[in-house]
Amino acid sequence: MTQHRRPAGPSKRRSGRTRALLSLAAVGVLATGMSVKGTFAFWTDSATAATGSFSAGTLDITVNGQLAGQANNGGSTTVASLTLGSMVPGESIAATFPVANNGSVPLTYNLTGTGSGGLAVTNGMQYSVTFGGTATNTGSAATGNRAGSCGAVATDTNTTLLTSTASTFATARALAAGASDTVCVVARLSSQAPNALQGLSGTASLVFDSKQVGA
Amino acid sequence: MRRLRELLLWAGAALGLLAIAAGLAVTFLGFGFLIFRSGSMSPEIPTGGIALSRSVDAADIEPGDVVSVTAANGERVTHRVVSTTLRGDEASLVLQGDANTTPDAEVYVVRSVERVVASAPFGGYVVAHLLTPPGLVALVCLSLVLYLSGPARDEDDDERDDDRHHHHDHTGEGAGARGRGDDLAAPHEPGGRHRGARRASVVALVAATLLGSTSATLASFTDAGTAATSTFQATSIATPAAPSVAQTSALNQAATVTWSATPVGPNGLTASSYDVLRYTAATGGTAAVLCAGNTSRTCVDSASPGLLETYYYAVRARYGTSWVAEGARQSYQPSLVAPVFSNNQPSSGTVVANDLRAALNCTGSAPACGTVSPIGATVTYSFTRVAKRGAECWTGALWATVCTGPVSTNATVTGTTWSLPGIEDNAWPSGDNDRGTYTLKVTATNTFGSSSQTITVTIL
Repeated sequence: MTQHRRPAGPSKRRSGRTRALLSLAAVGVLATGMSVKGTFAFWTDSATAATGSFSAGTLDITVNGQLAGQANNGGSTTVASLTLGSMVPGESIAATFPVANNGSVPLTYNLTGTGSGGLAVTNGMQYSVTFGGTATNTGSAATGNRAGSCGAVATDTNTTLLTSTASTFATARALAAGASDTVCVVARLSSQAPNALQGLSGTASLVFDSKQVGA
Repeated sequence: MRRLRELLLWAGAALGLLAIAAGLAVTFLGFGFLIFRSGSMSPEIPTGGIALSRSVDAADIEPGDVVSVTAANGERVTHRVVSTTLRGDEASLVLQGDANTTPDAEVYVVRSVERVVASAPFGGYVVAHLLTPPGLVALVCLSLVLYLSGPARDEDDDERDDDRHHHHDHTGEGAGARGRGDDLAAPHEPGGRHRGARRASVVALVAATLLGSTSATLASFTDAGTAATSTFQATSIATPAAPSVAQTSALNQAATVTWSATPVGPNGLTASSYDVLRYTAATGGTAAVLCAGNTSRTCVDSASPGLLETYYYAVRARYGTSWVAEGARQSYQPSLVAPVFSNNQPSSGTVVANDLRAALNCTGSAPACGTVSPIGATVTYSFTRVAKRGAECWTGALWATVCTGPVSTNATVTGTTWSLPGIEDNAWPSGDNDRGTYTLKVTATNTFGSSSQTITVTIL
């Protein structure tokens, strides 16, 4: 700044204006000099930094019609149909529930599951998840052959054991705003269930971890 | 009006200086600005916030820092550091927005990041609006208006302005010193408006500076919804009842074990198969497994307890490959009886020696054999004949005219089978001298008594 003022000394009347002009010039030089590289960046950025790009939207995933609203972010809801009592090894049940994008922006979600309880051990409760299937349940408790299917009858090999370590069922499934997925879950007690699992119980948590897509 | 202009001029001047400082900081010290386009770092930095950031090396990143990185999709993301793992001069960062429930899916590998030094809400809206072409034009117009409105007032103030400069000149200070004097005097001098206007025009620099160094940052939202299953309950095999154990027959001390079906769960399901376990003690001990995988719920033991011995039987119900349930033990002691012969050969009667031998079917071509129950009996025999040479005795190998030793000799007993020593060709010869009457008497004895059977054969 000092440099810019120096020439203004002799002519007092013009000094303010000259220095102002010089400053303006300096400003201009500085500005353009600094943003020469950023010029394209600027125009490119201006598109993204424009008013409209502020995300006033909401991200909200609902599970089984529950957990709507930001207040329920990270919440949990119990799917009542996913239950089975008096299970013997090899029995399974299938049920469906919707997962929906209740927000205003598209999202992608990952689905991971963890098991808990006495059946969340090797050869304990195992699960499969398919999307868009129809749940069919056959058999009876009296004959010990209850079997659920989401298209294919559950077996030890097409279901995944869930323990306290998370297992991934799906990654990056996209849901547009307002769209929903039908999640079909088969829960099965392994036919290899060890003797120690008699009389034990277990549950599973299926976590739909959603993330905003793009801006 | 004048006050307002003063205010604007000074505000502009201050902003201008700030802008220059910021410009220098950006250019030489690695500072930058971040505009927050979404609210995942709220409430600390809401949507539309602006933050001052400074570039730091990977090694200087610490958990808890708010840093800005470029995600794989090219978007700039500004989140809080959850963990950092340094390898060489690269750090692997796990970031999570304050408003997010889970960390970002992506692990960012960086050599340096923009660390947020300070932040202010709403600043991002202002800057973002100013950075649009219309915003810039408006800014330049504002600056020009302030600048052009300045000289009109200047006419009145020139005298004083000149005087001041003369005064300073008289003191013999240099141009540089005078310049400094201007700055110091400015707040008190109306002539400061020259510089005010000039500085106000510097406002344009704010935009230009921020423009060159501002990054819009995306703080993407996440939301985790959890579907919890209801309870899955494994059922269990009921404890099997103690089985019924009965002696197989009066002559067979072995046990026949029977039992009722064992329920599995409350819905009428029963065990799919059973094992029978035989112990030699009421509790503990190691079991012998009988009739493994039985489904008829009846099992005959092949062994039976010896004298003064008790067996204990339990049922083990099975379901599937692995589920088992063992029931209570049932003790068993057979009703012990005196031994009884059966199936003895040869039969009494009159027969040609060749036919007799042909009919015999004893192991090892024994002269006589049979079955004696229960197991454990001692069998003795007396085998004599009266032929041409008179009375003779079987020695166990041949016929002798002089009977030596005890009249009764032990037969060979294996399990429940007894047999006479010797071979049938010698005991039942077919010579002329051998025709006569043969008498075999076998006696089986155990603790509870004895029984005998006599076989009389006339050889023609």
